[in-house]
Amino acid sequence: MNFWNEPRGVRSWLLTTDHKRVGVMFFFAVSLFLLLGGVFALILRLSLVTPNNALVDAGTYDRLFTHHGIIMVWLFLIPSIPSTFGNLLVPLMIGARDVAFPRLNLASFYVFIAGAIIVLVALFAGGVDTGWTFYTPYSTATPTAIVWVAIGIFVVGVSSIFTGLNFIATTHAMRVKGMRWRDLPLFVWTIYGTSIIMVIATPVLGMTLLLVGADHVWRLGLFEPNTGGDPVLFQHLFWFYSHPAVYIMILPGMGVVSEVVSTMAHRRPAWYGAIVVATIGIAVVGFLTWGHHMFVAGMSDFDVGIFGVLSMLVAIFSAIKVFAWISTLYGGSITISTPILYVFTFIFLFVFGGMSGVAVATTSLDVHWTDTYFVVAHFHFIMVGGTITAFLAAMHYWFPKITGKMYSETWAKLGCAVVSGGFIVTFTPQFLLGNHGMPRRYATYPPDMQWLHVISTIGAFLLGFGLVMTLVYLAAAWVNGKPAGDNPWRSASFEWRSPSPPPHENFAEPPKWTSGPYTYPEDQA
Amino acid sequence: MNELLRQALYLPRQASSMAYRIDVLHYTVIGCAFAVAALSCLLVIYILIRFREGPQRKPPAHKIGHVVEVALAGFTLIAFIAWWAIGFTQYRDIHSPPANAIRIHVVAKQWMWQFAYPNGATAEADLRVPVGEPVEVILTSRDVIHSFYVPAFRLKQDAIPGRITSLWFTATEPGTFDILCAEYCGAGHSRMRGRVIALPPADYARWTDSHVAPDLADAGAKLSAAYGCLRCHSIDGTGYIAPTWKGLYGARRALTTGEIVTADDAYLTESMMDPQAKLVVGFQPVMPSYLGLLSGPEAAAIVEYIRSLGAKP
Repeated sequence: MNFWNEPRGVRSWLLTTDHKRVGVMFFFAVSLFLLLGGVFALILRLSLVTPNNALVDAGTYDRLFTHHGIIMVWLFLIPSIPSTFGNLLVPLMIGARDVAFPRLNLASFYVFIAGAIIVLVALFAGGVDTGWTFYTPYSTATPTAIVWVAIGIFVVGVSSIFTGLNFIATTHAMRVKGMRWRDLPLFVWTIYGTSIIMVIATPVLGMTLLLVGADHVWRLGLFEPNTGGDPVLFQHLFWFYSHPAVYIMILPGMGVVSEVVSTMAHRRPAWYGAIVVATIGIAVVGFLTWGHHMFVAGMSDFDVGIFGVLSMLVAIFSAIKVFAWISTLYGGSITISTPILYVFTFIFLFVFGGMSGVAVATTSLDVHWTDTYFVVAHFHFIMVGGTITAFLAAMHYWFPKITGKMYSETWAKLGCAVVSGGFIVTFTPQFLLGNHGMPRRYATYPPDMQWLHVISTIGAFLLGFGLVMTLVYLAAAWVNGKPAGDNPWRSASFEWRSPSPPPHENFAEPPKWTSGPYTYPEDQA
Repeated sequence: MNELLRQALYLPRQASSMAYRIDVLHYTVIGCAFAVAALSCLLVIYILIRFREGPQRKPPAHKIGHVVEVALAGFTLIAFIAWWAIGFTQYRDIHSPPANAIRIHVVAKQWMWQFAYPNGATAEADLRVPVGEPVEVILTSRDVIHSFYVPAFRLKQDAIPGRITSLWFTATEPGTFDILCAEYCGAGHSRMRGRVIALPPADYARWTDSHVAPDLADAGAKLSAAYGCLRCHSIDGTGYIAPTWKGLYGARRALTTGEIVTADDAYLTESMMDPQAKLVVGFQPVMPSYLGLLSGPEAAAIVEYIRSLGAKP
């Protein structure tokens, strides 16, 4: 008996308050949206094979990249790790029976689905051509379905806030007796930091999108210079949410990496305190860097300087985390498994992507790069590559925990190689395209850039193939895989102290605080 | 070495006075990024092999201490701040035009670029500039946000409706360089292209002479009379219903709100379109708005006229 089959029945799933079932439902929803956003990406890549876009006209192209961005950002990246693995694991990792507000948790799922349906109906019934950033005054004048998309994203935001509130309360109130803050698993710390960002930043996005909608419907002219409005004000408001949102995407990924590294090296994470400080530092300083999206938008030089230097500070926190992971691995006793290979890809994408972020924060370099493919490549490396490889690492690491089955390591390692290779082949050429001066959101482009676009398109199909392959062998393992045992990785962390898959209320008997989540008997250092 | 790195990174030609300096910083930062990423990966591969779990489980050993942690973080921080300092200095240079720069007004609209020269000549799509002389480009937009981007100059600046932005450059070699729109502006975005045509100064002079039109400041003088500006604003330094235009350009003025503003292109244009927004101390809010009455080029001509009446030192 485990949470999959107890209690039984469709109704028991639809009305469940079990955090694991909510997490599973989120997992299937966001995976579906990942594939949908991916299909849009593949059509985009195909249409860029020829300089004059033989596949679709410019209006259609504008809708395609907008839909790709909206679906990937709000329906996949933001909820990807917090709502799935956060829900599945945070209570288990702190020895709790469930989250603090189980019914709010279920509500967050249905609110998410409702918002997603509004967004998707708007996209498929009318479409939007503004880009996922909705810059005014273009967005207040576009004849496309901007209002419904704004309402849909507003509703999805409400779900984000529910999830964030729940994790904050759970972390404060539900820890097993004896677990102090300094014993908290690093994954829980990152979910906690992410939740703070979700709760503080999301309302600003909601308000801003409603203002754009109101401007569009009633011609209030809030962002319209003809009526005394200011289009640049929109950018400030939008990035005040959307820059911290990048950390909503990547912080949980960093948490996954910390867990995988510690378990696979069988030792306590090195520099635990520094990682915690860096996590909270990213969550806080991440709120003060939004202006680096606007270096050529006519801000004063003074503002540009301040935003530039604060962006460098955020990068330092990320660098500390990388040093800490490497330091944990160094001298450990490492199990070479699929999750650790994904961590390897993560570190490459994160270090190079992160350094390219430092490059674009160097203000004079950003003047050439902003709004070009360099920036596209940079954020795909770090927030997409980082998040997806961490998501896949989490999938392979906790698969035996959630399903009780083990997948084929051979297939998994092959899948990891294809996904990592596909990703690098897709986005490395885009750095060069940006250097050469290829702006974003171009339906057509000068012919001398064609060869790089062709390579990038080949990579995109390789990546898509790798992702589908991964889903197939994991599905097969779920049905036919060998039993994994309760703790196949010999982890000391709390979630592995319950049976796999866990029973309805997580622990057969109330868990006791005997040793911390990172206490490995063989860890001598 | 410069040429090798430039081509390896697939950068366009370095055709402006800024381009080389910016590229050197580019090589440094991207070189470090490559090196650090490659070193991290090699290090992780080495660690994964050396410390992999064997048949005999070795107890974990080797702890890297806090001294290393602090040293690494400190060193990284110093490098990042140094790059920022160099980059920000360059950024400020891009926004600090020399006094003798030729001022060319650019109006962006869906989906074309329009240029107005000091002597009144106008052009679309092709921006002619003299090689070796500084040129300041003063940008605005008539509809949505666009961005003036010349990859070969390594320069970009948004053109924003209702605002004035600017950048400057000196073209260093004759030739033709793409102008691209870098801010998404609708279905024609990727076709909103133009060219900078850098000419030897003599050819440039020949072109502007052959396209001579009424001097922009002269045009501004006529417009000021026609629109009634001069009924309230004097041009000889005497205060009347409104502040005099003599010596106004570039002067610092105290507002009724207690703020101090500089009477630059942006402020003067704003004062025509929304006169009550920033009222100078000592004057009544009596000026009507010229929003919708003055076109972009007309407003630019009047600003140019005010500028010709002398700037405060």
